[in-house]
Amino acid sequence: MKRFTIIALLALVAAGAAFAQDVNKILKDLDELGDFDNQDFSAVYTIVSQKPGEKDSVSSVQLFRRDKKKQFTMIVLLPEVNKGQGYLREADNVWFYDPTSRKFSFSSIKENIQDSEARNSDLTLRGFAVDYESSGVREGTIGSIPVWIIDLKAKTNDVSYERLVLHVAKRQTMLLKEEAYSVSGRLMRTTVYGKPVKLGDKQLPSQIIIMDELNPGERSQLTMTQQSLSAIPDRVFTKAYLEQVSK
Amino acid sequence: MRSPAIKTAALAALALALALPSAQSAYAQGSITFNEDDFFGSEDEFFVEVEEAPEGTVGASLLVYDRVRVGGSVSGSATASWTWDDPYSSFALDGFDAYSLKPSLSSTLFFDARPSEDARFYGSMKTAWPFDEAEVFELFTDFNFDEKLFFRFGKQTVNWGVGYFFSPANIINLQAIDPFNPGAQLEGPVSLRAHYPLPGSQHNFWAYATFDSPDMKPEDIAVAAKGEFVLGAWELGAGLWYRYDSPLRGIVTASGSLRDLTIFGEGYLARGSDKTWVSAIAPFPSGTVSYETDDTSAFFKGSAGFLWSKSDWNLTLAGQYLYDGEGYADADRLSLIDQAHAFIDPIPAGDAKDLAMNALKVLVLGSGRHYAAFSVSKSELYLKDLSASAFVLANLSDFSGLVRPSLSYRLFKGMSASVSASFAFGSADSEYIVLNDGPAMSWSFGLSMGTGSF
Repeated sequence: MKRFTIIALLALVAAGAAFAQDVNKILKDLDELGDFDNQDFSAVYTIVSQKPGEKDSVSSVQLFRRDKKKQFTMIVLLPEVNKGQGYLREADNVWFYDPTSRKFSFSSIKENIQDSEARNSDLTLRGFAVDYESSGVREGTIGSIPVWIIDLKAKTNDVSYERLVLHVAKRQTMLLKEEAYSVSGRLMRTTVYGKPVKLGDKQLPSQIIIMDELNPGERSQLTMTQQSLSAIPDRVFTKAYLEQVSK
Repeated sequence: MRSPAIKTAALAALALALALPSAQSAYAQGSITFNEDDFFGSEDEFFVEVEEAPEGTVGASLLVYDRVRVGGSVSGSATASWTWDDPYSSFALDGFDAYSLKPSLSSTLFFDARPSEDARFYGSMKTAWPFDEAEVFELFTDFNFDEKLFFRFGKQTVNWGVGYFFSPANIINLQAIDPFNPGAQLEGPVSLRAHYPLPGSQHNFWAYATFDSPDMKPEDIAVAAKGEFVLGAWELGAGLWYRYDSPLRGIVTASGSLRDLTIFGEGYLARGSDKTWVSAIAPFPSGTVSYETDDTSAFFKGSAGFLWSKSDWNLTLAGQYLYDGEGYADADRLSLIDQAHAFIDPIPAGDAKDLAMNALKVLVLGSGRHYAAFSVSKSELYLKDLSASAFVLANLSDFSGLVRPSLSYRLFKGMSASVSASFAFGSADSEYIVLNDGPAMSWSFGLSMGTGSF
């Protein structure tokens, strides 16, 4: 009996180690799916933000990404009052251009976009495998899609959330849902990723809904259009471009 | 805390109760609807088709307009204010020393024409009631050489500084930052600017030739150049400004981040100064004022500050310190104020005395060497449409200042109400006590009406 228990434990440990490798592979696959390593990526994101008792607000941004150089340019197209505001990011440095004062300034990448629930980091390169480690995996379904439900704990302080719970489609590795928790374990934000599209050898969601769990009823929907893998001119990732396209 | 599963189930139950279509695993709220089956599809029909961008338009579509864009903003308000010059010695609600009602109506109009990727024409005008004049605020054209060297010629804002409330490096614009309205655009001169972003980096080089008037000599042109360099998580800048027969000026800037805290600093060094100092004031009845200038001494100004905001909390903090080497030394400033009193005090009350007091205010305004400003603002304070802020501006040389708390409530889209107060503090003859005719307290009630952009 004792021998059987030891063998069972060893089998469990071995299975656990194998599963941990699988989880790491899933996280790396997710990172690669969102990483346009040798290609430029551009798209227009329309963000509808909803707050209880208020009319929906609509924002729109033009996004340019060059992941190879960790470059990111975002131009606000709507609302009219913010039109022409621009963000330029290279590695960890972010410049914000305000056409109202015609000033450039540094801005934190963790800031939200246009008073919506979306953060700049929602539109940039992510690093689940680098920033987080798995603390548990189980199976489940979303709609009719079988998923892995992966519990992640932050390895670094440079992330927005301490703990994430990811729901990843099994057959086509694809993130479908993300729950973000604070250090105290409070659910802060739920994000669902749907209506995926294929773009070259990549697949990415064309719709994202972000729900603010601290303020029930507050949510934002990001819809992607005009996506492209065409080469982006170098000048797009310069201060000169932010000035040129501003109002 | 509710779990997402419980929340989804509750919303799904609500959807069922409301008999929404496709109620299973579905909920809808406002215009954002979410149906799991539709949103995630099935394993067999996982991907959807979405319109892709036309070929060859990436980055260019924002640089060309098919028609001239015209826009602007209109700002309207009415503010009633009551001021008590010395409320701490004797206060009565109806004992105010001054009151006023200030209706305000102002507008900015702009045009923006972009006939091709390489050409842009932009102009803006400002006017305000009583519409005595409409001022051209900006008028410039953009063009470039081979998309590498970018030119802008015309009347334009030239922001060299990185400061928020104060900016010693702001040496080209025609206006200084107003600490009470730090986000406002500053008026700049007519100038030719060349901008060269160094390829493969975020280093930038800027060169300027500025023109003071439409009728000038070639030697009256001011020339300036600035370089901006990214070093790790910091952006450093250095610039020089020169005009014949004017003080040579140099500036340095630095800005960076420590986690969510934005930090910035500026330095200014010049050989000589354009400033004119008061050196002596003769006693009553003469009142003759003596002045002096300095074309040879080195003058330094420096400033450092921070900006912190947390969008989840709707909270923003900003603070900055300024050292102004062109300010008066404390002993000189106190001596001059004493001399001013020796002239003003014997004057009988009336217009002549008011005129002399106004001259004293001009003398003390910005006369210190050490200043600081701090602001805190929070939106959605308890109520969705309630915002609060507090601002402190202080002369650290004489420990006087002004505290201005305010509350603003959006009544509905297009109209908001605000209440603000202003408290001057400091000793007698300190800067903000002189400027406010004593340790004054003011209360203002305002309505903002129809302010917006188009």
